[in-house]
Amino acid sequence: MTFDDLQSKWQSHNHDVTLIVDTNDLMNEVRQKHRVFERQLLCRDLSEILAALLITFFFATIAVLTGQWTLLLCAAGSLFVGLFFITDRLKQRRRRSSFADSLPRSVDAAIEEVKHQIWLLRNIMWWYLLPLVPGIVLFLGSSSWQSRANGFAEQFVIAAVGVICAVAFWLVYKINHREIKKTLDPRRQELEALRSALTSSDTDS
Amino acid sequence: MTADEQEAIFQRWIANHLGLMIKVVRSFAPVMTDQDDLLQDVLINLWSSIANFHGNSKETTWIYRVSLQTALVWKRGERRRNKQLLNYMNHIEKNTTLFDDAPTRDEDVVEQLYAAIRQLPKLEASIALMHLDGLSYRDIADVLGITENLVGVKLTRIRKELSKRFNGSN
Repeated sequence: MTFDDLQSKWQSHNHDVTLIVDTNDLMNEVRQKHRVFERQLLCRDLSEILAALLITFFFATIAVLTGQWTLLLCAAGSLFVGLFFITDRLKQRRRRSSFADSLPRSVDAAIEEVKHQIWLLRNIMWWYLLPLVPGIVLFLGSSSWQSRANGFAEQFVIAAVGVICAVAFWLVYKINHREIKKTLDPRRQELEALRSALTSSDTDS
Repeated sequence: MTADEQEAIFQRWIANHLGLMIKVVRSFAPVMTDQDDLLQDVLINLWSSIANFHGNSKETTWIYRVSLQTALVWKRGERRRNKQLLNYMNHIEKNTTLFDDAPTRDEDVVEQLYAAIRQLPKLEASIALMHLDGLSYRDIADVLGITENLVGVKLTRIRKELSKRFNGSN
């Protein structure tokens, strides 16, 4: 069978014959999904802002109520993380490609997006974990100092909280690095291979 | 553009070109749930793209561009929707072993062609699909943003590869 035979069979085949599609239903579904998608993006951004504000407010309130001023540093750290996240999200949203762009530009945009995700996760230590560390360390240190006369049990609890925080930070760091290796790097490679195929010289075989 | 105009264009595209979208979806996603996910992405992107469509290119070229751009960067299983858009009367995947037997019916040939396209690298799959649909080298190059010469080089290999698979020869 020649390629032309295959092409002729392909073109004479009714490709959507196996489908039952109600156009109006489909139209409503798409419109609704588009709205849901936009709403999801908005909700995600708003929930991040809200979470950052709530954590900041929580630490600040405890600091004022207990007189533990070191907690204000935790509040500042949380605020920094929240602001960084929101700024980054807004900046990335502005960079999104449109379908008026050519395919190579659209693939470029997808590669940049994945690379940025990798950068974010790879540097999670600097923009997510480290800003919280001074506040936590100072808080635990000052608590330990203030309770030095209260005996071993209290010191032990403070040390345990410190260890739990350290383990949690380590886990966040590891999980994000694993995500890079497992998902984002293969995705980047796949997109780069596609980009390279699009720009390969005309004589490539 | 008013919402009514956007809706009218979208409905016309669905009425006239749904088959084209289905072809793209079936060429890139092997199983029905994935096909459904991809079709939904394609439709949502088409809906959003209407504002950018100024009639400078043919409708089919534009729809191909949006559908293929979506399919080429689509990631399988990224999200699952609750409601399915596709209601297949009969299951597409027949679990047949490809190329074991000589195709007997046109439908089988088309199914095997879909499977063969899915086995090609993504760029080649896009080119093969548009070529099978009879698009010119120029239109294919325009949709993909590559040169006509590259389309020609790739097509020579694709035609050879597909013919070889169907004829089972070296």
